[in-house]
Amino acid sequence: MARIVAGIATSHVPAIGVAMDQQKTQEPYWQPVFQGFERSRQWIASLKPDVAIVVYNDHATAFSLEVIPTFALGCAAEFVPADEGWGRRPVPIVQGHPQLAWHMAQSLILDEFDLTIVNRMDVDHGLTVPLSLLFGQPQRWPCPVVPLCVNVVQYPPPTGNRCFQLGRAIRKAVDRFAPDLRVVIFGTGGMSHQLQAERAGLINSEFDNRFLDTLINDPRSAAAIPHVEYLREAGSEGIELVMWLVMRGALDEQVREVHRHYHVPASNTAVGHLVLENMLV
Amino acid sequence: MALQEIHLAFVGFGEAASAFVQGWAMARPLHLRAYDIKVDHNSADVRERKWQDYRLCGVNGCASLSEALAGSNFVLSVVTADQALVAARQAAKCIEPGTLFLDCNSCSPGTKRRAAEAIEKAKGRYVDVAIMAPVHPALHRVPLLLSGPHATEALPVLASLDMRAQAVDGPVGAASSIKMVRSIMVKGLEALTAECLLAGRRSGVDEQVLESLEASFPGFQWKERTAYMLERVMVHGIRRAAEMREVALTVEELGLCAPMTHAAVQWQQRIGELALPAKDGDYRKRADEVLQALSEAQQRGAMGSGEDYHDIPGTYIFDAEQSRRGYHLNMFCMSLNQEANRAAFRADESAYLKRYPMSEEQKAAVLQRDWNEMLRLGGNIYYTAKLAATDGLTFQDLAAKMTGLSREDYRKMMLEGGRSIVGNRSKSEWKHG
Repeated sequence: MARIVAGIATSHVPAIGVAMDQQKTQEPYWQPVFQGFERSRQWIASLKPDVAIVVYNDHATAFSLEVIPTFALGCAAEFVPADEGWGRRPVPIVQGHPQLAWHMAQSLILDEFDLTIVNRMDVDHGLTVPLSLLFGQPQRWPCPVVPLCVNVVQYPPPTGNRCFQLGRAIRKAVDRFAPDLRVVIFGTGGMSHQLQAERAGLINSEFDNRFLDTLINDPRSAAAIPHVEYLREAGSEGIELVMWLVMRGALDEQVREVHRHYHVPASNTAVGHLVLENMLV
Repeated sequence: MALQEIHLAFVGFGEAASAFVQGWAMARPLHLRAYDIKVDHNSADVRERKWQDYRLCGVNGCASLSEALAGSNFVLSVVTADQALVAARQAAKCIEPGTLFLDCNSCSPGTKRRAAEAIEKAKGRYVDVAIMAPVHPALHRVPLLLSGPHATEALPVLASLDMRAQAVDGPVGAASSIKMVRSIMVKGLEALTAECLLAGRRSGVDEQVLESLEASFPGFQWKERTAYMLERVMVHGIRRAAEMREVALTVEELGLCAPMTHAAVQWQQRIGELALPAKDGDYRKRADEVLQALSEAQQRGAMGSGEDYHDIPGTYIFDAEQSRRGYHLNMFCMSLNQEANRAAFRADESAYLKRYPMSEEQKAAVLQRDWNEMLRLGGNIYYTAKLAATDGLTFQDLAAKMTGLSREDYRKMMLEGGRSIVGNRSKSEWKHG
């Protein structure tokens, strides 16, 4: 049977992708950002997961205001990295896992999570930057990916609790999938940042560090954080952190913290990163 | 130290500072200065009222912090909990060496330690002070607890000022811990009382509930106490919510979770924001006043005009209203995801814009690259960023423009840890420049 063995949380700042694509990772500005991912790269290289579920948000790339799905699951065989206005990132095409993705879609919908099934979807930095951070710059990504796209651009995003419950349902769905796969789940975005208007540049490292602790040790309290608190305390774009709760919901109640990294800044954003393992793996 | 050797400066001149001055009456230091950030407020009304406060109290109000601290050897910091660290860091820039800096704000021990670090680095002598009771009616006789390495040095000065201070053992943060942990009960009880009373009143069982509580806890005087506690929340809820956030931090610094304290923050904040006068002393009248205002706020919320995030300064939440207003503006931006469209737009911007039924205001904002105006008119940052990308700007360049900083200054701000949350939580504390 398939099982979820670990969860990874990471910011998905577009400038991180640019720094990697332009070989700037050893520059003094970027070095401390990337240093915090070295252990995780070794960890995931030895873990060799069979599939990665990546929870991320689309930034006006595959979806515009024409269609705004709250949860959209990528069921296609492949996903092409998108041109977001700066040209395409030079990264491999992302292979999907249609069999697992369709199984998840069915299981989740019958579990009363009425998500949207997507068979064609270009993927933006929200998905490719986390892959680059964990897998580096390979010719092919080392495992197939099931993209799960969460709306956090149009207010209101799903509540933290809904995201957490979705994670729990994903766990159930994966547990019922017959092939013997070892699955990791990524929660991406955040941490505190605000990209817009006069308050742009907001960073709240106290909120962020408290969130890291609470997410690990008391996820139900983290899931109860209301939207206005994210908006006020972590900046208007800090609300992306609800996506970390999907990842956390898919793990055991108690998890082992394998690695943690926090750094300010990457461009406009506080970078946060966690590697969590289920205890009984 | 004799009274007239004390050169005293208040950082923050609100309820606490004016109560102390009132209490001292004529027995006050001649050298008595004050600085309050309200004299820099956007609103002329607020500024003028603060200058009037200074005059009424007979203190020497200053236009800047450095002016207030110049020549002072004893500083009382009495700002709001969420401003305490900023105040200390600002004071550290202009404090005279050897000055005793008494941080009387209700902050977590961790916050106090950070403030102490700043003051000590500037050769000031930092003392952690906890004010242990309401300043009215005790005024300057309100009990104070002091801690930290300079606590005993501050005692004789406070004695000359006829203040009731006591030093406790332990480092900076020890006195605050007592105050903070006590607040879990005091301010938590207020929030609990509010929830119980409002629910009781709305279901029409308040009378029976309070009488039954009186039977269980005889002598507590539930009706009088609940009226008093509700009044504290109504009048001082916002300040108490800020303090309770510090309390939650204190609890979490100890490795515990603080769900009760967080819940208390919500009631304190919500009722405080209603800004009700709490004139009538009867608990029923007060509860009804709160219930009425809560219903009205809820109705405004349901209609989309009173959402709780509208109070966040310098921010446009992309909600239903903004999304409707900005649809065509954003779809224009979306089209710039394709190189062919970027080229066509660059070739003739005005002609390209005619393809989209945007308002004239929106078109003008696009042509002038007025990035904040685009957001105000319904633009969403992830969409307007595509226009920025077409101009060759990164997200960071764009952010710099929206904040009115040069690229270098913005980058520097981010390298120094970004824009602080302190002072940027709500429009009421927003002060540009």
